[in-house]
This record gives sequence, structure tokens and C-alpha cells, in this order.
Amino acid sequence: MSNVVEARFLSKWYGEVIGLNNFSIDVPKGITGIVGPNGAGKSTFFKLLTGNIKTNVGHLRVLGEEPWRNPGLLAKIGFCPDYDFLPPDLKGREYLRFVAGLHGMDANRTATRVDEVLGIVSMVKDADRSMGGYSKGMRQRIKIAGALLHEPQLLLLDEPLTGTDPLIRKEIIDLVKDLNKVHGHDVIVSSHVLHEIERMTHQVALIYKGRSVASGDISEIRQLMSDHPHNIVLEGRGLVPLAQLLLSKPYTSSIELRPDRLGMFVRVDRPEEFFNYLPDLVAEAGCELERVESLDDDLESVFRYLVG
Amino acid sequence: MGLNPIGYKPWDGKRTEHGRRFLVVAESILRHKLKTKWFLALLIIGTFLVHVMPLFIYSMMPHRELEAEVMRDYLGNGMYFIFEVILVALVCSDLISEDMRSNSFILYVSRAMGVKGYLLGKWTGAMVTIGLFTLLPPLAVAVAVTATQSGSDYLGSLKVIGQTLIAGVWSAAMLVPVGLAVSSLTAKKTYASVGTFMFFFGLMLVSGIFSGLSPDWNMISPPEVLYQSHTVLYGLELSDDVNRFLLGAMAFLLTVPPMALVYYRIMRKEAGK
Repeated sequence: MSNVVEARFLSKWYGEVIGLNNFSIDVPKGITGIVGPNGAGKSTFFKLLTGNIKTNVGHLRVLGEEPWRNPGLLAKIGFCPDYDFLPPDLKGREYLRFVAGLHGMDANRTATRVDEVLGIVSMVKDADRSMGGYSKGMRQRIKIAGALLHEPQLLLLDEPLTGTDPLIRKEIIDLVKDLNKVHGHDVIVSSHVLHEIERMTHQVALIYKGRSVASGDISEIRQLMSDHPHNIVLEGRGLVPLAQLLLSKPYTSSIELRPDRLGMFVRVDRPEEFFNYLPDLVAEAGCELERVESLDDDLESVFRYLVG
Repeated sequence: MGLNPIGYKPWDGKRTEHGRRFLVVAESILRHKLKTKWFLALLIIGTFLVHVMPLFIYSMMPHRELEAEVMRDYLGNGMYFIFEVILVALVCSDLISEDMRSNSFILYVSRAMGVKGYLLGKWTGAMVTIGLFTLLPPLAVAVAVTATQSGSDYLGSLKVIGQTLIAGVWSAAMLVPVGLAVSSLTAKKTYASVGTFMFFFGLMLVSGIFSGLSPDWNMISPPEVLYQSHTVLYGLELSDDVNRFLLGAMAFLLTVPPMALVYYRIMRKEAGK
């Protein structure tokens, strides 16, 4: 089995709302990032993978099995949802024991395994505190601990970095990488921020409005971001000569100067070239720039570009 | 050489069957409630007011054997019902509503526990917890009365003890589904507890207002349903003015539709769509 997940033409709708639309993807072993803006269908995809909901149309195999009405498969999957569901009055260790019970793990082995998992997520010190007093990072860690407690082959981490500060984000990113490199779990991790996923894996799939718009190596996605037309706003003084120079360049599609001549919108076909040559052009035009900002240097723009 | 190959090692320990995992949920509820101060306080006060007096009175009064009528009337006591309703309202209030609020159904359904297993676990947990008031003390009373009886018909007393066991379970089973159903209708446990109490109180009120028109209206009063159903469970004769059909219908309506409602609510909210 080379792919941990194979989805073909999946569609899932809730009444008149479409969760996934003709969605196809192959997820290989290792870490795979599912990237898409909020509401793109990432959580719906995870719910389908865990068999919590049924597809309306299409074919889905997870670790070679059909997930719907297949509780046995859940022994091989660990799911960490994006929202906070931890009972505040339980201690971390108690929560993990409870989760172990839900997985039917025998009591003798559970205590050892709980200690192991607490070690993996670096929560040994805080395991005997009530979870109500945990920081966001601790809560994410204990959620991940709950997901990997039963030694699943496949870990599904839905937006594990949401709401965390940069330090905790780095710790969780390192943890996710370790879960694959050191512990051998296959991981599917979702996020709406591309660069966060980029720090965990190079294998990504882009999902937008319920459809899989691209998948593959992240460098190819980066190239797409560089290649698609960008709208760039420039603000400063003496912009007219700069506009004239830019119009002579092949990568410039159009320029719109603001009436006050203190700002302009430039549409460029090859943003990388534009940014490379901009300092020279500014020097040549003798203008002073106060602001340069690409309005399309984000994932949402790439999605819009990819789906036309 | 020198590098250890990465090896995923699946859990190779024993696993309990899926069908028995609801007990984990039930046990967790019982543990949680037993750690809650208000629950313990209410249980102790209720037990003292409702059960301790009968324990002494029935044991010390001269008696030949444990009688079904005595146990039926003791369990038909208004205080017994009031404390039971308060306990059900408070115990059940957070069982579904908290999961609704925090979306923690996923904790259960992503771990090989379906909605039915989840519900069975919640129901069992609530039943065991409420049973600490409706079942254990009445059994203790029945055993104490049997132990101090002057007659020799221990078999007859044993039969009443068995009937008390069923009556105690039924007392909880009749009220718990409504508590769970109300809890599934809101994400706030305060609303759930007040709602459950008001549901039973409202039925009693309506019954009280209209019972003058027809004795059948008595049958929508939950304490009356409990009393009359205990009469049946203890093998005693129902009086002629009790409508058997309405009694059966109320027993059904208080148990089955509320659980169906909880199931429907969870399916709508989280799983199986």
C-alpha cells in the first residue's frame, strides 16, 4: 500500500451547503499538509476519513479500508480536531486514561503507554494538573497525546497550530516532524497558512471551496504563487517617472495612478522579476517609496488564480 | 549502519470489545459526580431525610416480614420523588449539554464508539449515579427490615427485596431519559437542570389543575406514574380509577421518545450526517 489515503470524486453536502465537491486526492506515506482557507472543506475531509460522516458520492479508502461504519479502522487512526473539547476539570493524565479506555486498551499497559506519550509531547511535568489551567500550547499537546495514545498508524491533525504563539508553534511543528521521523506515524496535518505547513513537510495538497486544486511538492506551489499575476500597490513621492519606466517593462500588464499621484496600482505578470528590478528602477526614477505591498501574495489569491 | 530504521509499531496490547466500551463513559460519569461537592451534599441530605427515618422506623416497629405495600408506600413518598427529580435535573444537566457546548462528541465517535455506545454510556452513568439514591438505600431498608422480621417467611421478604431492586432501577429509568433529552436541547447546563425540573413540575401542575375534571389527568403526573408503576412492580392491585392504558402510555412516553430525541439531536449535531 503506497498511499495512506485514496479519495476519488468525493462529494459531501449538508443540505444546500457543499462541504466537498468532486474531491480527489492521493495521500502518500509521511507528512502531508492539507492547506486551504477557512471553510474550504478541510474538517469535512477529516470527518470523512474518520468515518464520522458518509460521503454522498465518491470512493474513499483510508489505509486500504472504507472508513464509513468501520470502527475497527479507528484503532489505526488518531484524530486531533481543531476545536477545544478537553474537559477542564480532568487532569491531563486522567484524560489520557479515559481516552485509553475508549480505545479499549487494557489497564495494565495503559499506565506505561500514558507515560510514554506524555514524554513524547513533553507534558510529563504538567500531567497531574487540571486541564482547565493549561495554556493553549499545553492543550494542543495533550490533544495530540490523546490522538497518538493508541499507537495509530495514521495521525490526523486538524489545524494544530491555530491560536498558538510563535514559540509554541515551533514546538508543535518540531513535534509533528518527530512523530513521523522518530515514531514512524504517517501524518495528515491541515492549516490555512502555507508557510506553517512548509516548515513541517514539502508534500502538500491545496483545497479550496471543497475542491482539491493542486497537490504535490510545495516548491511547485511556491512557483505558482510567484507566477500568477499580482496586483501591487506602491505609495510614495515622484511616482510618475517610475510608472513610465515600469510601463516599458515586459512583465508589467497595467498601471493605474491615483489622482493625487502619491500612489499607484501595478499589475505584473511575473512578480519575481518585478521585485528583483524594482530597486534599480526606483533609483533610476529618483522617487521615494513609502510602501510596497503585493495584494496577491497570499494563499487565497493562489486559490482564486488556480480555480479561475 | 548506525541508523535505526523508523518502524511504526502498532499497539499490540489487548483491547476490550467495542460493545463494552460504554462502561468507560459510565464509570467516568460516576467518578466525576462523586467528586462533586453539591452532588455528595444532596445525596447525603436526601438519604438522611428520605431513607434513614424509614430504615429505623420500619426496622424497629414490630413486623412479621417485609411487605410489598410498605415498600411501595415508602418509595411513593413525595420527598423521595422531589429529591430524585432534583438529582436527575442536576446530574443529567451537563451530560449532553457540555458535549454540545464543547463539541466533544468527537472525543467518543473518533474512537470507535458510535452514537449508540456514547448514549448507552451516558445513560448508564446517569442511572448508576441516580441509583445511589433510588436503589441502594431502599435495598438497605428492605434488607434491614428483613433482618429484623419476627416471622419465618424469608422467601417472601426476599421476593420483595427483588421487587425493590427492580423498583429502584425503574425509578431512575423513568426520569433519566427526560434529563438527558433536556440536556441535549441546550448548551448550558443551568438551562438543562432548570428545564428538567420544570418539565416534571409542569406536568404535576397540569395534572393538579385538570384532575378535577377526570381522574385520568392524574396519569400525567410523574409521581403518580411512579407510584402506580411501583404498585404494578410490587405485584399489588391497581385501584379501579387507574387507567391502565394511560399508565403504560406515560411510562413509554417518559422513557423512549426522550432517548430517541437525544439520539436525533446528536446525529443532527455531530455524527452520521
